[in-house]
Amino acid sequence: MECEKIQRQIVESAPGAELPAPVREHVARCVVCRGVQKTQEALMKTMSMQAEPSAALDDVVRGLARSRLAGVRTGGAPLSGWRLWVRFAAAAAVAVAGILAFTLFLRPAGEKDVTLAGVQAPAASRSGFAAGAMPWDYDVTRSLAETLLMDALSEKTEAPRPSPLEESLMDAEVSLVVVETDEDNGSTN
Amino acid sequence: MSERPETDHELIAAYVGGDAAAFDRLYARYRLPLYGYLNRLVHGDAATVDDLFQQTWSRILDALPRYRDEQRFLSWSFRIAHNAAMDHYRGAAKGVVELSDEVAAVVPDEQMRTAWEQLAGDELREALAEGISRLAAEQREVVLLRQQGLSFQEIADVQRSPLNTVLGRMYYAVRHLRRHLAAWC
Repeated sequence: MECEKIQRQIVESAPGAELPAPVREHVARCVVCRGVQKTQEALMKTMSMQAEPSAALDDVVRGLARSRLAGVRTGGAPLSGWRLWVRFAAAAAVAVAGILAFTLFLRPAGEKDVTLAGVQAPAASRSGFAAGAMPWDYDVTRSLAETLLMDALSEKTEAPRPSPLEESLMDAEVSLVVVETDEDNGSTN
Repeated sequence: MSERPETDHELIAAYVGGDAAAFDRLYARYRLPLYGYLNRLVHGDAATVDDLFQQTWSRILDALPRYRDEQRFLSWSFRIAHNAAMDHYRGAAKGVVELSDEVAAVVPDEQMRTAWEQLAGDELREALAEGISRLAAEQREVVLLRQQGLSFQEIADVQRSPLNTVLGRMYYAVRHLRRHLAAWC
């Protein structure tokens, strides 16, 4: 039991440090503990027998350090792979959000009316995609934004009553559609 | 009048601030301990040791901006080296980095020996090297880190083990080595 305690003290002592007197006395008369002490000494002496990295490996590590530093100075390492796609997706999302915000909140109210009238969406359906008569140069994003805005408004507010002029124009539009349909069917009235 | 040597923390701060030469001085301090530790811990071919050494420094460079002076750079860097070596062992367990029999057959034994073994001149040193290589991995690491001057508490931090466990590993490692070196001790 005492040997184990002594050996633990030997093992746990700092390399090169002098052992306490009671430990030294025990080691002097105990072959086993002396063997442990010699082993410990031999083990710690191997510190001076270091292998070392080659000059080429040193150059590689120093080169790594400099390249990292250069990366920091230029705002980070060059993007590649998924990082590039994440950056691209984030930029696209910001751009779309900006367009939506501009369309919904920043444009003058009068401009909205002009644009909606230009699209000529049917009164029953405010969806630009359902209109069927969408011009080729029509901005889909703006159409979507306008649709969302109109849907939101229609839920919260009552639809404005059309003026007499608008009612007459709508009537004329409906009769025009009827005529065109009849022509398509090959029967004229 | 001699200048006060720069502390590790000062060198790190200088490097993070853009002074590449500061890293060179830091590297010069720790290249030998880290390489020696990996060389004997992995106990493999020189190419693997070189690769782990490079990986270790790459991780150190990544982590340097987050380094805090709460622990010695020595033990901090050894923990990174330890993690790199553990990753290596995991890869080896999956057969990723094991040498095939064909490759091992062509590589001369002399090249397969570690650099440390090649340095060991006398019989005692060779016997000691062999004894260390036969230790359980955890015991071998405690011995190697102790040889590099880490305190037992620092070794406990590196291994993420209780202090008493680390002390026990050292105790049993020395006892095992003593039996192995019975002819000399």
